[in-house]
Amino acid sequence: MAIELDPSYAKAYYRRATCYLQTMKYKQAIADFKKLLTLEPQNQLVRQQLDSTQKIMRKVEFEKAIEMEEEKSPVERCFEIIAEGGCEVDKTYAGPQLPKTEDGKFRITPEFVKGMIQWFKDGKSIPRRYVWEIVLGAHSHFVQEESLVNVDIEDGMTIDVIGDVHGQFYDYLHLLSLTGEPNEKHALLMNGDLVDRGSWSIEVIVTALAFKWLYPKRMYINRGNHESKEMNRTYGFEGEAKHKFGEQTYKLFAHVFTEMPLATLVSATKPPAGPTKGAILSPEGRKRYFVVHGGLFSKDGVTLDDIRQIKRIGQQPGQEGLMCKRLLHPSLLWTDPQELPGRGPSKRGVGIAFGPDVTKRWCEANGVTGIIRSHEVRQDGYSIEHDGLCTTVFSAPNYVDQAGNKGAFIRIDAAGTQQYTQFDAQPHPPVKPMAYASGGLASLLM
Amino acid sequence: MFPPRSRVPEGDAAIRATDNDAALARLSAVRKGYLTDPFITPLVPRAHLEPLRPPLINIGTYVRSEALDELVNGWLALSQQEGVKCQIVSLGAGSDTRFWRIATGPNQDTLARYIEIDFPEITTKKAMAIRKSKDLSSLLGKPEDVHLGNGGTALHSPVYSLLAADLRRPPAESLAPLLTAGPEPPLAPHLPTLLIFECVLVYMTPEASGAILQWFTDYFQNNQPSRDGRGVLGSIVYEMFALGDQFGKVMVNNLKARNVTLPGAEPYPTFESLPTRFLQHGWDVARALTLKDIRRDYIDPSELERISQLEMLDEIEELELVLAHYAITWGVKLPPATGELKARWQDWGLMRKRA
Repeated sequence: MAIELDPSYAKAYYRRATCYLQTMKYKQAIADFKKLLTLEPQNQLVRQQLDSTQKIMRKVEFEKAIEMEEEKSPVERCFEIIAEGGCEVDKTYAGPQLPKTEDGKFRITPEFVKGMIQWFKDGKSIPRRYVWEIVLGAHSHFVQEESLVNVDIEDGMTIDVIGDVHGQFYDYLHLLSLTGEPNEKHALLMNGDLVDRGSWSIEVIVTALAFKWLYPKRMYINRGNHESKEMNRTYGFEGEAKHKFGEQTYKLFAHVFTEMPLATLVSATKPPAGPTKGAILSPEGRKRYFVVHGGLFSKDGVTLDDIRQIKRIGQQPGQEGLMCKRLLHPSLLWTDPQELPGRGPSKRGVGIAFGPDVTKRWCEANGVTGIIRSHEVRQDGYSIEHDGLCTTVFSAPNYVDQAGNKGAFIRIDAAGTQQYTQFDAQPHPPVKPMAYASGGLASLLM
Repeated sequence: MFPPRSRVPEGDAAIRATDNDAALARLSAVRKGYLTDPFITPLVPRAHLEPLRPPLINIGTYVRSEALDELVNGWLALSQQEGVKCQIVSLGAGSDTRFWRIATGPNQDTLARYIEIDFPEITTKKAMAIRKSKDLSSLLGKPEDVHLGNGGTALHSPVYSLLAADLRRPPAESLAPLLTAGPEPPLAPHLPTLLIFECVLVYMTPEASGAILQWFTDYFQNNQPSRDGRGVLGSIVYEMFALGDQFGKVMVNNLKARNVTLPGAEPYPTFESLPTRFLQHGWDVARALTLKDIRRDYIDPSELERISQLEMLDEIEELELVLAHYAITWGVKLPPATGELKARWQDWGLMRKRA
C-alpha cells in the first residue's frame, strides 16, 4: 500500500520483496528487486539478492520440469511443446501442405493424404509437426474406442481385414491399390504389426494413422505384439523413428500404440447368404468375426465383455505380463493356433498355443462365426484352420525379403461372406529390412 | 530416407572384423545372463559401451557355446580316462576365452598345452589385453614364465601360447615353424590333441583348409612313438553351411556388403556333406549336428526353460531358420596302435538331453 501512495518509496519495495521471498513467490520478489535497482542502481545488496533469487527460481523450475515430465504422457507433452511453439513447420518444406481450420488448427484432407503417400513413395519426408498432428489426430479417436471395437457392416458396405505389414511400405501401397482406400461404403481393418522389421515402418504407420484421423469410422487398427516398446527396441521401429523424427516422436508413438484397441468384432447386418450348415451365428442370427492379432486365451470362459473391459492405455506387455498366462492382455497379441486339441506350450517359448477344440468352445460360447488373426507368416498369404473357425491372414509378401510368401486380405460383406485376395511382393528401393535395428544384421552368428 | 552408414573394412581386415562380431555376441550373451564368462570383458575394448545383440543372436551364441564346451570337456574327460594330459590348438581363436575357463575349471590339470593361432594384428591386440588384465595374466603362470615374443605378436607361458600366422599360407610355412620346429616343439605328437576351428575355415578356400587338416593328420600319423602313443587327433569345426538357398543367398549378400566372402562353404551345400570334412582325410569318426538340432535335443530342457525367460523372442521360425544354417562337425583320427588306448575316443560327441 505504501508503494501505491509513493511508487518511489524504495524501502517499501524492499520489504515487500523480502515477504515474497519468505513465501517463496520468487517471480514477484525478482520483479520487486528489479524495480529497486531502477530506483537505486548502485545498491549492491539488492543486486546480490536479485542474483541469488534468480538462481533459486531456476533450480525450482528445473526440478518441477523433470518431475512433471515423468508423470506427463507423451501426448500431453507434445501438445505442450506445440503450444509453446516448439514444433513449427520448417519454412523450407516444399511438400504437401496440411490445411488449417478457421481457428488455426491443422486438419486432414484426402488430398493431403494422397500427396503425402506420393511424397513418401519418392523417398521424401514430411515435417515432424505433421507427424505429431497425424498421430495426435488418430489418438483422439483411439481413446474413444473400447478395447474391443464393434464394427457393423451396413448394407452395401464391405470391410477388408489386413494382416501384418511390418514396414513393407511399397507392398502396403500395392495392397491399398487392391483394397481401395476407406470411403463411405468401404472400411479397412489392419490387424496389427504395422511396424518393425521392414525399413519403412514410419511411412506405413503414418499413412495408416492419417487414414484413422481422416476416416475414424472407416479405418480400424488393432494393436499387434510389435506395437510395443520391447519389440520396437529390437526389431527396428525405435531406431527408425528416432533416426527420422527424434526421441519425443518415438515416445509419442510408443504411447499411442497402447491406445490402439486390442480386438475388433466385425458383424454382418444382413442374414448369411448361402448354406449355413454348422455355422455359428450371433444371437441375432448373423455372421460375425472376432479379429485379433494373436489369438485366444490361456483359459476358457473369456467373454467378449471381458475383452471390451480390458484397461489397456499405457500398458506395455512386459515380461511378467507375458509370462503370467493368467492375463488376457497381452496374450491375445501373442498366441498361436495349434493342430493338437487342448492348449500347449507356444513354440515362441512364451504364452500358449490353442487347439481347434478351444476355438470351437470359445466361438460357440460367444456366438462368433470364426476368429481372424495374423501374427504368423503363411506362404499363401492366408490359411483356414481349425475346421474353418480360425483364419490367419498375413499381408507382408516375401516377408523380410526372404520368405517368398504371398500376402493376402479378406473382404467381408454385409451378409458376412468372406472373399480372399492374394498378392505378390513389389520392388522397393535398396534398403534392407532391419536397417535401423541396433545390433546390425540380425541373422549372422560369426 | 536412408539409414545411417558405417565405414566398412576391406581385405583381411574384413575377415578380422568378424572376430569382433563374435566377441560382441559373446559379451551380449553374458550380459543378458545366457552365459557366464568373467574373461570376455578384458578382451573387448570399451565393453560397457557396446550395444546388446538381438535375442536371436544371443540364443545362437548360447547354443554354440554350450555345445562346444560340452565337446571340449568331453575331450578332456577322455584324456583323463586315458591317464594323460592333452593339447588343444585353437586356430583363428580371436578373442576366445576358452583357455581361461578351462584353467579355472575342474579339468585344469588335464591340459598340457593350449595354443591359440591367429593373424598377427589379432594376436598383438590380444597379447596386450592379456598383459593389461590381472584376471587374464595371473592364470598364465608366474610372471617370470610369461613372455612376449616375435615383436609383440606372440605370448609364451608354461601351458598357454599365443602365436601369429596366416592360416591360408601352406602349413609348411605357417604352422610348421610355430608348432613342430626346434628342439622342444610346442606340439607333441604323442598326446591327444584337439583342433578347434570356430568359424574360421569358411573364410579360406577348401584347398587351404584341407591343407591344414592334412598337415596335422600327417604330422600325427608319421610321428607316433612305437609304444605308448596316445596321439589321438580330434577336431571341431563350427561354421555356416548350405548357403545355396534363399536364406544363404541373403547371408552371402549381407557379408559381401562387409567385404567378406565364404569360399569355404562351397563343398558343404547339404547337411549330409558335413562329415566329408574329416572323412576325406581318412579320419575314423565324423559327425555333425546343426545348431537347430542341438537346441532342440542336445540342450538340457531346464536350461532351455531358463533362457527362454531371459528375453522375449518375436517368433521361432526365424530362429530355427538361422540355426539350421550353422553346424558343428567333429571328428577323430585314431593313432595306428589303437589296441593300446584305454578310453573310448570313438564315442566322443554330444549327449542327447531329450528322448
